Amino acid sequence: MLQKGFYFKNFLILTFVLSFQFLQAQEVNCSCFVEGKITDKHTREPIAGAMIEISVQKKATFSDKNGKYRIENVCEGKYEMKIRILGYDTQKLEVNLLHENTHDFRLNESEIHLDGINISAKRIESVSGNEKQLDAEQLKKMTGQNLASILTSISGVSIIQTGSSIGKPVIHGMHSNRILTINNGIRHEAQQWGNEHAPEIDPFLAKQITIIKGAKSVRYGPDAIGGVIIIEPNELRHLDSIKTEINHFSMSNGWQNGISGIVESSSHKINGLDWRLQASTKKGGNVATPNYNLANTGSQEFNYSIGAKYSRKRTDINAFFSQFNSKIGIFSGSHIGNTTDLAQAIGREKPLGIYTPESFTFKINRPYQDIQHSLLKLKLNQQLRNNQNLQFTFGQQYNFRSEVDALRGDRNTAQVFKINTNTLEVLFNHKPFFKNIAGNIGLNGLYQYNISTGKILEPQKSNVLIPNYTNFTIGAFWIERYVKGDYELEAGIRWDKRFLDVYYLERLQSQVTSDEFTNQSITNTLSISRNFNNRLKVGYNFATAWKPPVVSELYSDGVHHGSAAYEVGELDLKSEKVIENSVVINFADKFYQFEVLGYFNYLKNYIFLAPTGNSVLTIRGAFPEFKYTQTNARFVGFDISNSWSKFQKFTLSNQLSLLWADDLERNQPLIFMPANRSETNLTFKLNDFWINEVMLNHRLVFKQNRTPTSSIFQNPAESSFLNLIDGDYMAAPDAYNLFDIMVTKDLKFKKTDSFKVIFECKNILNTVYRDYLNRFRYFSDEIGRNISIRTNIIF
Amino acid sequence: MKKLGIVILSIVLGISACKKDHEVGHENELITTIKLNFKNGNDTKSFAYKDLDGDGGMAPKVDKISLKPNINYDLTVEFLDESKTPAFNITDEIKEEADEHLVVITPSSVAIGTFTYADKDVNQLPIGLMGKFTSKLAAEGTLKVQLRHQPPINGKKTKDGTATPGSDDANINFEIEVK
Repeated sequence: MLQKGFYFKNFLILTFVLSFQFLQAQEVNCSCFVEGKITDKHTREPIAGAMIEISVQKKATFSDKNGKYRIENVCEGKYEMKIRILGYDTQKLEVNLLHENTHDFRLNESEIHLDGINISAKRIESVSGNEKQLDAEQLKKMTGQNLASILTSISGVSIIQTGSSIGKPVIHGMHSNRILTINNGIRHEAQQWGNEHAPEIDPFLAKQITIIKGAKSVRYGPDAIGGVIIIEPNELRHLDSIKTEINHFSMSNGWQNGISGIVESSSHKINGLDWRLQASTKKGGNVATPNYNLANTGSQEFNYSIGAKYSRKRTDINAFFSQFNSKIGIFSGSHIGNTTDLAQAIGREKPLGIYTPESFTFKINRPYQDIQHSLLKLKLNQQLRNNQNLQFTFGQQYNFRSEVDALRGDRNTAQVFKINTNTLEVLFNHKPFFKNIAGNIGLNGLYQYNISTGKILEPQKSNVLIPNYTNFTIGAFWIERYVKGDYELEAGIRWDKRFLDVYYLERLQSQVTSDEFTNQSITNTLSISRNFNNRLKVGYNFATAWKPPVVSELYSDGVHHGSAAYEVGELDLKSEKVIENSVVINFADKFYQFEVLGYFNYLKNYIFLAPTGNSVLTIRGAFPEFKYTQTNARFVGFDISNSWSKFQKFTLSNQLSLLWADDLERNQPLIFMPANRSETNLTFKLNDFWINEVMLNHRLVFKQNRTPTSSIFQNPAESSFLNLIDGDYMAAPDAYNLFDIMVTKDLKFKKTDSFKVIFECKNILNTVYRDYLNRFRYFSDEIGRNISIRTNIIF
Repeated sequence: MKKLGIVILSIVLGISACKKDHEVGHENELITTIKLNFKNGNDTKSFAYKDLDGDGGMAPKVDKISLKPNINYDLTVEFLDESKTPAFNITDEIKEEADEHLVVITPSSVAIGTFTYADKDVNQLPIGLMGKFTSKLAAEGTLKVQLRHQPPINGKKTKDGTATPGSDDANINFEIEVK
């Protein structure tokens, strides 16, 4: 899965520092040995007690207290080496104990060598096993898709879409401000609140994505109620020459094309300086459903990043800058003035002819979204004595979003949001106590300000969706991890306090009103896991998390762009709190793997938007009124995966995601929750054939039958223009089946390290379907067949 | 190969220069007032729909239209933003982009009266800022006034003289009485 055939199980990812040395290969050539040192990637502490195994040779050993190990009397050959330790992910590593020139039988002893192979290693995020990774190899197969679609390949993760180009990840039914994204070590702060605000992250830069399914507030702070998405590029490392990676994709649907280049190397002049430059660009035109094209659905993206690392003795300094730019056309047929327009659009079998043009164009008209996100990161890692370590991470982010509506003239900008965020984290990893306990103490600070109008303290307009505000949050945490034998235990506690100051103009007033909110909370976590015979692992996780109400939930007062709803905030909202319990059972045999993650989350004061039954009369017509309100909610679900494989050539796997989300006060399901889903995948690996891998995929999304039955608010006064069906404009769409095929070919050239070509056809049968979580399901079908070709070249 | 990589990267980097400083464009357009002027000879009656604080907040103020039976009125429609001082006249903008706009006036029953267009855009399609309203017998009901915004989509005109394309920029009901 990872490069060079690393495999992940579910605990951690580690990387190791190994060095292979061949000493004298004698005639039998069985006197080779492998030796090295295993250290933690971040803390650089040696890892004691890791099992290193070359199973074919029936050789195994444990690393000593300095992390060192040595396996002797290994015969020449190509082996799989397995490294296992509790608290870290199991890894498999292919070791080629052969002279480069294999057909030369008269091996010159001195020529037999393998230089130190440096593997960096990382602790797993979660002890109980409720995390999943996508590695570089998997990500290569999905280039060109938006971040949220990439994540849906993980069980329990679904997507909220606004058309085909805007996607937001949903973990176990929770999204937006309940999911935290850690981009390159920095808490991603943008406009998470809107359903049509996709994460502003370039998927081309991501080389590893980790998803924690469940609350992780103790480490990452407020908002991490539903889960955490951790996106990382490769670590910078020393390279003697320039390494280049080029990724390209072309897709038939919408003629989308994209290319990304990464160049990295190390400075020859300054010892210890490594650098990387990356840029990507993407352009697509109008996409098509099986039966018609969709007008104004093009998108453009341009992103770049610069990273550098300077290491000297015990100090590492990291600097990183990235910028994300995107312009996304919003389907013209979804542009509605009011509820009457919406009702008419819903009533039509297919969008009007003018919204489904025959001809194709790349042009993006109004309405569209124009987005920019910049991130600057500075990190200092100082290694202290006694294996202790101190880290300072500073991040600065600027998020710009303008949503341009189809208004008159070229002079009107619908909504502009500008948000600035500064974050600082100080992390101290202390030396291990009593050999088995390791942990860290951290401090977090965040200062954020949003300007929608005028200056922060001097707003100019009253009709803004989000008022000006400043947000100052501080937090402190302490986490310890205890590992002994087959047991592992983690416990942590955290305190956070948020100061939110909001500045706005009341309607028709020129005097600035300011409100102040202070919220604080303590969260804690306890995880425990046990390994049985390295085949069965059982983990349990308990966590609490919280989220103070965000500005949009408190202050919304207006028609939400494009959604034909008049949204009203509620100033009296209390903080949301979650208590999470989850169990992970993982069984792995030679041919069979099984994993089940069961979760039971209780959310106190769950904030959601619900129709009041009233309509608000505006000059554009009547709009149904939606109000933010709170309830106690329960999220129960299972992610079940099964995988059978035979001789590493044939793999059949299935992932099932099930969720029951209920409003406990009204005893009915919550609205807008992902439907149950099953994904089956059949993979053939054909090593000596003209293609290397064939993958067939089937996705079945069930109909969401669990929708609310009674209204949330008590006063449905008048009947509005639109009859709401279970709190929605339209009943949930039917179940659907999708089939995809993917063929991979690895080409070998002298000058390239790797040359991969991937051919894919999505929705082979051109199935017509609509998805419950696509906000455009009222207007149009989902996109149809899409044939794509991807290349990945590393040299 | 390595040179190629650098060349590609620099091309990609070169494609887009840094984004200009983001200037917040003009303020959001806000229609606060729709005014109907019924003219019969020298006698002009004006009725207005006013929502000065925009969407939500205070309820809009709507005049009741009162007309005499069997009279041929010249009707003009005005759209204003009175939240600004001086008030901003949106009617002029609609005239400028007449080929993307259509005012639709619909009485709740033909017994109240009928509306006919008296203005045309460059494509000889009606606009509806000017028209004739012929009142009929004594009756009561509502008069719906819609401003349909029908901008071109991917370079193709959408306005076809009917209300179907586009979306409502304004959609209100006046109460009307003919007596």
